[in-house]
Amino acid sequence: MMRPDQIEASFDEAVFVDGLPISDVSAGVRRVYDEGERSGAPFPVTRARMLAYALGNARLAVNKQDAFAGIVERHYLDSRYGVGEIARIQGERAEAVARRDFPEGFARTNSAWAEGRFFTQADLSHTSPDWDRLLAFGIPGLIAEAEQRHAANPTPFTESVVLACHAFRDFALRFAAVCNREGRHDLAATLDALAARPPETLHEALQLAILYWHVQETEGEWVRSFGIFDRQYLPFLERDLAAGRLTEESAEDMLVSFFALFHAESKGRDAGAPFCFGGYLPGEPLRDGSNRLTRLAWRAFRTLGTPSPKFSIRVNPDTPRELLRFAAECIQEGKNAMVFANEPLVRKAMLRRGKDPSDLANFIPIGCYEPAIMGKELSCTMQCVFNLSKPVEDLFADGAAAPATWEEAEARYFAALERDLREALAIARRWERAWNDINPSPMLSATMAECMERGLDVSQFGTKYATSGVVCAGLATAVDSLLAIRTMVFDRGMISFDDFRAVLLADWEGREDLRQFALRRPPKWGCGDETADALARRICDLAADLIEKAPSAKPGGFQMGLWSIDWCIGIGSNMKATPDGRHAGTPVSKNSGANFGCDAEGPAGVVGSLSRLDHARFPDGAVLDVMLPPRTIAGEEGAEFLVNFVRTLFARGGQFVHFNSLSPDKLREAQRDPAKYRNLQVRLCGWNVRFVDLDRAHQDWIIREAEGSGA
Amino acid sequence: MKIPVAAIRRLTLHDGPGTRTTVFVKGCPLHCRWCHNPECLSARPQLLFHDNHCAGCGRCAEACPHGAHISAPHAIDRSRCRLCGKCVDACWRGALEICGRDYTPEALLPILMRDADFYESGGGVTVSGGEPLLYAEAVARLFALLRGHGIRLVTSASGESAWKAAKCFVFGSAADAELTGDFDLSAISGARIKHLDNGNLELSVPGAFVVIVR
Ligand code: SF4
Ligand code: SF4
Repeated sequence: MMRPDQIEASFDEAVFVDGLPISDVSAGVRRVYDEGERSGAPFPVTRARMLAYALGNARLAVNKQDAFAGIVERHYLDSRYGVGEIARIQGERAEAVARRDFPEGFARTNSAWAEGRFFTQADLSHTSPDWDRLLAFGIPGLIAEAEQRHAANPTPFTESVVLACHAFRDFALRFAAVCNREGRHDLAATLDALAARPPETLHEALQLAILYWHVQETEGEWVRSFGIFDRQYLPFLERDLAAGRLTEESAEDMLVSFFALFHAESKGRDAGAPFCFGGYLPGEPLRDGSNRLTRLAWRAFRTLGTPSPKFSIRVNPDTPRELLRFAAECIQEGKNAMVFANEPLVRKAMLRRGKDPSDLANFIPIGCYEPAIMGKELSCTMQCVFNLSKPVEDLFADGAAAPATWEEAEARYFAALERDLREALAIARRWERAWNDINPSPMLSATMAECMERGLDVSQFGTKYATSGVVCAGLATAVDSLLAIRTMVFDRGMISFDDFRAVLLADWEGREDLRQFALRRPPKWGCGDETADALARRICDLAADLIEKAPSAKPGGFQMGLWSIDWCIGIGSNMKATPDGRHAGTPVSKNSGANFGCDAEGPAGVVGSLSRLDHARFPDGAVLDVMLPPRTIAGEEGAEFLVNFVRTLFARGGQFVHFNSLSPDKLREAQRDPAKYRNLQVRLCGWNVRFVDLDRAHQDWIIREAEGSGA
Repeated sequence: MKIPVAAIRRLTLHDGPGTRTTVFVKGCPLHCRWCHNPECLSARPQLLFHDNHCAGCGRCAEACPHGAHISAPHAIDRSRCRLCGKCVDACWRGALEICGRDYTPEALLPILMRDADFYESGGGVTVSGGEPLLYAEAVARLFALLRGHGIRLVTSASGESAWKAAKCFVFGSAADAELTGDFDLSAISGARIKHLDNGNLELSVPGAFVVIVR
């Protein structure tokens, strides 16, 4: 078995043996696009041709020891590749569509973001194929279905799907030829087999997943879930074990090589490749599906210890305790690229949104922690990012009269919140229809049963469900700020409203005393304080009501999420000082948790506060970050504590939770001596990164979180 | 029946098995120089001063009706302090705190039950201190209440001047009848435990001990 660092090195030092240099692939993709536009070809067809060009010409490599054919010269984060060109074309078209269809809304999106107020987009990249169908059909099955539909009723959609599926097969065959040329006839045989039939062995199934991953991301949509791994691949493993093709040990080695590829490709800079485990099987009565493959995959995860892939566990009362305990031990070792999902709660949230009970077994966290139904849902979970704390700033806007009472201040906040949300949602709705003009996605659509039955691309909402997420950020900043106003201006009369405005405008200059009061004395979100929790509940209820009822172009409508990922840094950078003691330009609160340093009662207090919110009203996800000092989670007690914590939070109605255990001293040391801390990883906000790869602002933010300091 | 409480800490992992809530009582018959919780030595409430939070603004001195705050450098003349709490409220930085509040066992119960679900995998409530058995009867009552909710308990005792009370606590006065026969008793630092014919235990030599109620 190759060690992870060897796999990484083999990836980095790969000698590409077939295909064109990046710049040529870029130019070629652009040429195909321009020709398509000039000739007036239907855009979906042009998109499929662009995909075929990129897959046909991207450079490929295979090494002597590789367990899978997986080295493709592509990168979607920068423009080193043909795919970079695809991303550029997406950007150009998005802007053109927006300027054509809703120029005012588009301008407002930009200006609202410049104020840290909200942000809307056509979210193209919270997608997952139907992995079950892909594995069952294989490439030829997808082609056969596409051709049959195209023959029966030819449309630009069916044509694009036929082209994309053929490009997928040609890609497999081209890779096979490269493997043969490099003397890897074993891998060539696997790839040839995949071009001809569905996968039969675990190795073939995993190889198909790798190929598909490259194909879909080359098409232009990130694979934001690799599905329910242990359930999908168990039949393959069992067949191999029964036939003597694999032992548990050799299977585990194979999994290490498989997972390592995802890390090697990105080194953790792509928000991680998400794999889901455990949870209920389809059918009644409900039974948890964790199995021997779960165990093997998690052992491989622990062996690897890399920031990517990232794992999630669908936790229910029947989840084996050993699995949670194993995960806890990984966290103790600093291998914390994982999130825990409260499955019963998510199922409740999905039922509330009208999803069929029979689909719930296919719930996956898509992206970081946004629940969706695998293979049946277009879930644009980040269609809108909304800052709950911005309307506080508006209270102090120039020329706004000082509120006479706390009740008036509070009412004004709620009115501004409603105004902003309505405005954001109206623009977000315009973006919903734009995806089809920006990036029709024939490959992704080909895996989805309903898209094929209805003859509609995912971007035309061909899937059974289509939803748009509204990410609501900055809850703690909003609550703590409002209660600081209440305490300081109205309850204690320490400062007049107008003077407070001047203090905030001056970013607390010369009033550190007031700032300290704001940080330390008023009630805070995340301490189990009834006043703060009740206010948070009202904010969330109002937001959820408005979001659920807002008109949407999609049948599934808008749904609320209570999280921020690292948008809280961008949002905060555009905001003035807030009454909770926050300085201008610094991040607002992270995800659903307390402001750093304001959780006076520790995690128990945060759990107490969270349990006062109805997490079933956050179908777009809600996550708690728990930061614990390493000594707290050390040893037997520490591992048991983590398991216990997850169980208790979920029993009290939390939705997702993940953990960091970092010492601020060590992080500072890593800032000074990055080479020594190359492999130190942190759970940033829904994915893991190597700490030393973060920019300074992100590093400092994590340090503040680790030391629990808001100041 | 009251217990003077210095602090209640939630999700503690090092005061007994599992995830616990720990109640630190105030008052201790010993006065060890190395005491880790010196605010628990005196049974009476005390004004605590966190000098790392203090900015020297003088608001406390202004607020104090008894002239107990002395400035430059900031000190508290404890003989003058009447524990009225005015300075605590006046301090903007949370640098002052009144430590020590009397609770009845009944008042502590809901506070300790907030985290009952965290105790489920082997944790519970620990009463620490200070010397819990200075308040043996009240602590026994609290334990009986918590036991009624199935909560597992730990306490420790120095076994010094609380010796008589400790015996009463562990070996069955009316108040702790439910505890008899359902605890582990570990002797530490000089104590000896004798097994009696009736199945009960007795501390035959005084010393520190830990009681874990299953
Ligand atoms: S009021 Fe607080 S900050 Fe000011 S001098 Fe007194 S203790 Fe220090
Ligand atoms: S508690 Fe009251 S008496 Fe004591 S120092 Fe503070 S203000 Fe003065």
